[in-house]
This record gives sequence, C-alpha cells and structure tokens, in this order.
Amino acid sequence: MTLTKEARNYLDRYLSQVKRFLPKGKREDIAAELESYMLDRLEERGREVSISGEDMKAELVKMGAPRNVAATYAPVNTLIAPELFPLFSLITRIVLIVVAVAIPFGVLIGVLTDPAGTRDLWEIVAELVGGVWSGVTSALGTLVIIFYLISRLDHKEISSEQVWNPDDMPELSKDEVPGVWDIAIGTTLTLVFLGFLAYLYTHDGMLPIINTGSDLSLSVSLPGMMPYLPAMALISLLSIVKDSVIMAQGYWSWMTRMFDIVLDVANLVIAGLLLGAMPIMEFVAREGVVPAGFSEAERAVNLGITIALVLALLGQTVEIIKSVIRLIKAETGVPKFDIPEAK
Amino acid sequence: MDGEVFEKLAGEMRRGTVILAALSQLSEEQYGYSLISSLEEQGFVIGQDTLYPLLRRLEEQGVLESEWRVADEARPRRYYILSDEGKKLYSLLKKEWEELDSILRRLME
Repeated sequence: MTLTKEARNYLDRYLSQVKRFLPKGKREDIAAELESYMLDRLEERGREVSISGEDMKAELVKMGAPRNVAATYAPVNTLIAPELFPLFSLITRIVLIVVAVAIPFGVLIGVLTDPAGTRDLWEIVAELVGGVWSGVTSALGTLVIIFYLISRLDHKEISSEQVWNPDDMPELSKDEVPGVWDIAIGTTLTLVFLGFLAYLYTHDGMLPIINTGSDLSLSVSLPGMMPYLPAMALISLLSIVKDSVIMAQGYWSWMTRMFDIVLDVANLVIAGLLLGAMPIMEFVAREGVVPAGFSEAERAVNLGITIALVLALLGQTVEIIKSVIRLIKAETGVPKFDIPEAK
Repeated sequence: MDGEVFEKLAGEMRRGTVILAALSQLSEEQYGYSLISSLEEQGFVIGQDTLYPLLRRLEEQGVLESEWRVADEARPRRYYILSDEGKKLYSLLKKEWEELDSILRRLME
C-alpha cells in the first residue's frame, strides 16, 4: 500500500489535531497507535493499492472528529482542557516569573526610597516572602479559574450524527524536523564560520592582506566585531546542538522550541549590537597610504553591512514571533511510519 | 421507540462483555487491528474507539502487557498479551461469567 502526498497530509493533520486534545504524557503513544490502526485498516484494500486524498478523507470521516476520538481516551474531566493546557502552562510560567521578579524589585525600591531606614531586616524579609507568596498564589489561582471557565465554555463534542469535514483541519506547522543531511550541512557551514571567527579573533579583527600589485598593501579590518566574537561562536555551536536534539527526538518539543526562541533572541541582540557599533569595517594600510577612493568603498561596504544587519534584525523578529505562535499552538510532530509515498 | 430502547439496552448488555471478549483473545499476542478482526470474525463487533482505550486501561491496571514491535511487516505495531496477573483475572472472570450464564439460563427457562 502507498499513500499519496495528499493522503499523508490528511493523516498527519488528523493525528496532530487528535493530539491537541490528549494529555501531554500520552499523546505521542496514542497518536502512533491510531496511525498504526488507520494504516492496518487501509492495508485491507490490498498491498498494491495507492490511497488517495479522497480515500483518506472518507476514512477519517468514519474514524470521527479528532476531539471525539481523543475524548474516548481521556473521558475524565480535567480542570483545564488538555488542548488549553500548553497555553495555560506557558502563560503561568511567564506570569509567575514576572510576579517573582516584580515583587522583590518593588520591595528593593521600597527599601532604597526609605532613607530613614525605619524597617529592620526581618520586616523586609517578611514583606518579601509574604509578597511573593500572596502574589504567586493569587496569580496562579486567577489563571486556573480563567482557564477552567474557558475549558467549560469551549468544551463541545461533535455529535455522532453530525458529519465533520477533514478539510476544516488546519494545515500542519511548517517547521520541519532536520534530517541527517541538514545537520551535516549546517555543521559544516558552522565550522567554516567558526574558523572565520577564530581567524578574526587571533588576528585582531584583520582579514588577509590584499596586495594591490603596487606599493600599497591593504587589510580589511573588522574591529567592531571583536567584542561579540565569543558570543557569536557560542550561539553557532548551540544552534548545532539544538538541531541535533530535534533530529534525535524526531519532533519539536516545548524545550526545543524554547531553546530556538532563546537562540533567535540572542541572534537579534548580536545583530542589534553590531548595528550599534557600525561602521565595523575599515581598510587598513599595511604598506603605503590608503587612497581617497578606498574610503568611498569603505562606506559602500559598511552601508551593505548595515542593510544586511537591518534585514537580519527584521528576519529574526519575524522568526521569534512565529516561534512564539508555534509554542502557543504546541503542535508537535507525529512519528511517521515507514509507508512508501505514491509517485 | 421499541427499536431504540432495544438498541440502548442491548448496547448496555454488550458493553459489560467487551472486557471478557477482549481478554479471551489475548492469551496469544495481538495488535489492535488483528484483535478487532479476530473478534469480528467470531461475531463480536467492536469499534476501535471502544477497544483501544480499553486496552490502554487494562494495561495501566496490569492486566495486559504491551510492546511496540516490527513483526512480519516493515511497520511497527503495538502488541498486547495477557500478563500473569491478567491470566489469573481472566480465569476468574470466565468462571464468574459461566456462573452468571447458568443462573440466567435457569431464570429464563
């Protein structure tokens, strides 16, 4: 049996939707078993049969709406609906971190703006502990109540008489799991880039000498990059680690998505710092004097670098926004079985 | 109306027998689809939406053991089999069913 691309896409979208409504710990296993069942069922049609998108759609309609299928596995009423839990978890973490940072900061400001020093140390500690405790518990309680209400209001099953339409399922998230070749190419390019950074680092930001053929010998110098070289090298290495972890896991997890966002933010910061340090490139004469024409070239190259950095800043910002949206949607990949795709 | 009530009551009656039916076929390992087919061949129709959650529940209770394995096909499947506890439980349930059956037969004579 073979699946057409369209059929595979319907199946992947279906499994991805079922998983949204399942408890996190069980979703991969249940989805894999459902996929196995679907493929067994389709295999009944014969080994040489190619399953089209329409065939798959008809099978999925028979299987039932993703929410209903998931409900058979998780009939126990949870306080917060499984499909809302990733969002609840994300918002809770953010809110708790903000509260845990803001309250001590408030206490500190209070201490600093109290020149008379009317409070002793124990009073301050009690205010700090009490403030953090009440802030965290009230924030957590409020979030639980809000998400409980949303879960109850939003919880509707599709009745068995009502035919659901697989075309209504959202498309899969576009971020793909890197393969061995992606990792190999990425690693090679990163190693070349690291070599370049190492060269700059050991040559005080000077690139190889340009011999103009006359009595003038020039070097391209990038002194503005020097302070950021270690950070750039670290980000490159961590990026390889991230891709390798995703490849080993076979899907994007919450942790790898967070890691991806952190790396994007780090890249954004570096691009911003380099932009602030512009112009970062200059021609330095090793022998002779830099002719006036070279300062025009210097300006042009720096303008090019500035444009590239601005584009990188915009690109990174878009990437971060997309990554945060993916994190909120919490769409993780589905382990695929080895079913040949129809030509 | 009669048909509706019959369907509802017959459904309730069948639901009670699903566990025993499934356990009866799991002294040898089976994957979900093969279990559905083998039950169906013998006249016991059961949907995946009933069987798969049941298998998971029974496994969580220690009645079944399971593992993902690639057998004759180049595709992994999850195989289920009765655990030692499950075998004991199955023979107790079977005995219980036989007693119920004989009581009901007497009652309905």
